[in-house]
Amino acid sequence: MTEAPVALVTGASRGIGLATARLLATRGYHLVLTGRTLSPALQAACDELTTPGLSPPLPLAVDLGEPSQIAAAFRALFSAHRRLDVLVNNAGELHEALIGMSPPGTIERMFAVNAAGSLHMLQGASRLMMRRQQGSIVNLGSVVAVQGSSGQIAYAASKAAVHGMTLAAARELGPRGIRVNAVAPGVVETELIADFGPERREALRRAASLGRLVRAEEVAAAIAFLAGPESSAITGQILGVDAGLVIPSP
Amino acid sequence: MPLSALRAVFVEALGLPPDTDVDALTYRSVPQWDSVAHMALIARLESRFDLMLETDEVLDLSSFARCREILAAHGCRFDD
Repeated sequence: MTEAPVALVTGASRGIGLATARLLATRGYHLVLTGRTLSPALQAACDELTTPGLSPPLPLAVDLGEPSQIAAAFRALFSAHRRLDVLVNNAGELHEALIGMSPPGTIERMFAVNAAGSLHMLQGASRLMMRRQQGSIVNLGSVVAVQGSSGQIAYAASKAAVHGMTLAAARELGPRGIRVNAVAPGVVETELIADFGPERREALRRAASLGRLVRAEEVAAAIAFLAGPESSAITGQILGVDAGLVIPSP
Repeated sequence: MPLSALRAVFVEALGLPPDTDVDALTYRSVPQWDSVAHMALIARLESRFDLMLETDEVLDLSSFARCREILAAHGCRFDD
């Protein structure tokens, strides 16, 4: 069995996933990084994050919409490391469309990846973590799960599913020593919002209390906190990382 | 591997009395083997025999006898 802790980060070839992988690498984790394909970007991430004294990051092609690929990924992880300490359930898809113009295939795809795919990942990770009666799972929720967003009905609904599974899993897995939390990013400057025009970006900046968007590295810092021992008494929480886009009432 | 090793995993994981007739056990046939304990049993089996069961196998593992068959498919043979 691998000696150092092992972290699995999905959607690790760019954005929040890559920023999180970089942070976890500095904290001594063996990394298993997934992308939808074994892309040059994923391979570059593995090359960049190869650390002396640790095995090179293991790249895996996993389409979260395909449960058989998720099962194969866990078999590969088990074969390589025999353990899992952290799952960062990051991979997700966003396709915007108004309610009346959302194609069935798009709706189903977002639920398959964001909701069912995340759940299958959580399921596989918890099975490995149960062996050692410890582990930390960090899901990627969203502010739109709690406050909605025009043109994002399927995305918002799928992320609300992530919030729900976080709470349910925290209750069920807590007695097994496994913590489950989520971060709920606001508008993060990643490729996911590459289509947003300048006016929309400005409106989103103004809506945030801090008057700006969020950087992927800021979300990664919150994820690493929830993944690591600093948050050992925290489970079942959904931590907003949104520059004050949502400020809950007391 | 002796069958007693598999029996021991059941006794330990489910918290059964040592004199339990493990070979006759089926899921929910004793109060100790409920759904929560089932996952603990799976974790103990996977850890003890260094394997990873598929979800279908987890759901199908409904008795000691069936467990023996499933583990055999993973290369774990037990002698009586």
